Amino acid sequence: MSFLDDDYMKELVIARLKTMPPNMKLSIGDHGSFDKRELIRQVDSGTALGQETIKSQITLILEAPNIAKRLREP
Amino acid sequence: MKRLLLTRTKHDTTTHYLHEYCRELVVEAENKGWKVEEANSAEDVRSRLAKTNCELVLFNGHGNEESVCGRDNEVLVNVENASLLENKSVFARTCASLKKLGKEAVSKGCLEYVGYEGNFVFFTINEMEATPLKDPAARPVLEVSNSVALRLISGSDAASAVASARRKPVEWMTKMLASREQYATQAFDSLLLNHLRL
Repeated sequence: MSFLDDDYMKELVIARLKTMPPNMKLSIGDHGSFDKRELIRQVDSGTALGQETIKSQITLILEAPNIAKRLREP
Repeated sequence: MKRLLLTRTKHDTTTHYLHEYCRELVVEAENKGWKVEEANSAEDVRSRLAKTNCELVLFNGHGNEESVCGRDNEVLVNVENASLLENKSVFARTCASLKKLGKEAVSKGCLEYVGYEGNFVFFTINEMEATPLKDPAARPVLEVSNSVALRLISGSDAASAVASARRKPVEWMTKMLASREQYATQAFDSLLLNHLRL
């Protein structure tokens, strides 16, 4: 498994989602509200929502180092 | 008198939260001398957009790249009738509508269109869903997005409103980074995602 291939990203995102408290849900527009179990299922199944979730989580990982810079932008 | 058209529903969890957070907007708008009109059906919204001289439109609900929706996800405005937004300033607190509807609306004479380029997301705590205004996980994102509307209500232009909303997460992100609360990570994540998409 190489860095950033699909399987790796899926595993990484699922690991992040597992840290979500069980009594919380993510509201994603008209897709609905999802707890961590459902989000993980979507990611694992490769659904459109699952792919969107992977994209969002990878965005968070990549953007986190830029936070300080972005927050200082006018 | 300045007219403001507000759309909001509460047919699911997401729209219920948006509905409750709009309370602050209604109060502030009325305090600032706006006549606030509310509508959530396509017929009513389109009629008011076409016939009343509302200067500011606040959409709160679901949406996609091409449309914003109201009650039970009925399409209110889409790329085909975007000319309804001519001569109006718009803030769409919906998913994704900036990308196509926003552009089309501006090309058809909408003065300003503020919205999100991707999904508008926030976390909720199950035990708080009946009282959205008390949900600490959702509060940061919804307060930041409220700040956009509040700036427009106070007379700022879209650029100023967006700039203000881009500064507002600073305090919340700092709080969440330092917080030991269970929801802090999720609140931070949703703040950052929406910040990137505004």
